[in-house]
Amino acid sequence: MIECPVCGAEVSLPDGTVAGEILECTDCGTELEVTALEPPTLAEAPETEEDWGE
Amino acid sequence: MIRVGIVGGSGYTGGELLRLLTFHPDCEVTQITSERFAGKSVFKTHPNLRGSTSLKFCALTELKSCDVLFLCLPHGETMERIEFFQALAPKIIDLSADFRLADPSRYEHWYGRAHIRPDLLGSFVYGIPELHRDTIRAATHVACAGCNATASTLALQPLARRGLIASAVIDVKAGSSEGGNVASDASHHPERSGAVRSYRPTRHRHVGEIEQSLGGFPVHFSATSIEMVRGILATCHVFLTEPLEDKAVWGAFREDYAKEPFIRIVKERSGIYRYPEPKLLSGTNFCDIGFESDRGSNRLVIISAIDNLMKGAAGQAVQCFNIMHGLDEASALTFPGLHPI
Repeated sequence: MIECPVCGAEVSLPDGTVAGEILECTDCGTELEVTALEPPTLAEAPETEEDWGE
Repeated sequence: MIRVGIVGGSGYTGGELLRLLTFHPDCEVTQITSERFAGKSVFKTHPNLRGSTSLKFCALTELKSCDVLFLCLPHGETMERIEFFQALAPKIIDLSADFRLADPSRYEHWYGRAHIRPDLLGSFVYGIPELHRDTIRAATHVACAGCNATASTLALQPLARRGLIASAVIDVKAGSSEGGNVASDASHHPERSGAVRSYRPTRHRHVGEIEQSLGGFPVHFSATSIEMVRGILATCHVFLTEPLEDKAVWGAFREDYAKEPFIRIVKERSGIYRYPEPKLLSGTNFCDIGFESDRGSNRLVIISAIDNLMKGAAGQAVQCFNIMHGLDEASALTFPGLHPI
């Protein structure tokens, strides 16, 4: 188990997870990139920004 | 089967109650009253129930004893007849505002008149299950919370009880069904259509309920009626007592609400529905809650959405009913909503 960097929920890495894989936090829904495996490290995956008329 | 009566059943909340209870596996609606429509089939007033019920409205004087009475009368009428209702049913779930405020002086402050049965105020449990589940379980009398108060209180409660709120400004956008089913000049279509109507910038009565539940900090509340039939969107500007990381806010909501069957945290970084959206909640008993920190200030914006006729009235009443009878809390309330709608 590893902590979601956004909401702090526990995220489990499935067997066979590889670096660069994208997971989704089941609590906050954020897409997370597995940036390293030893030790397991997660970061927010880049998203396409929208300006919503700003 | 639990025998249930609905009093004041021709209004929108009465219709929603009948819709829910007609399909409830553990209850039978034995009577539904309406002085205006007594003797007429219920489906003529609630056309969505055509084919689902053969009930006809009866007059209040025809009401017989049952196990539970749901009271959907205009504010002020429940307390005038409370002894009549208590003689007919051992359990009462009141959807009016008459018994929501425990302190009679608070009632007089917000409703502008003295309560006529202050001796009974302590007999009612305030009907927000997420705050008072254990007392509701043992209660015989429940006063269901107001719709705007429900949306606001559920949004603020996790941080309020941790002492993290210095003050809050609540801006509610509300649908037209909050005004009930009695037509007025203001509801006339040419006047109402397209309107963004600031109908209670200050002194909304639900502030009394919010303060009663949360206490300890100033609450400012404004309501605006918008082009929507069902729904409430409460945007709560919370001024914090100390800076909070998003993770800490997540943690507070998770700790309080993770096991709640009708509360969902909605905070997405992408997609169309990033924050709570009342449209998606039509007909459901959910309260969706999201938040966003205003970086560089002590403001946290908490957003909540409900269907005012469901989690804000009939749905919450059925949730309380289920709890009072030891039933599955979600019984008859599992509808997930529609998309698109």
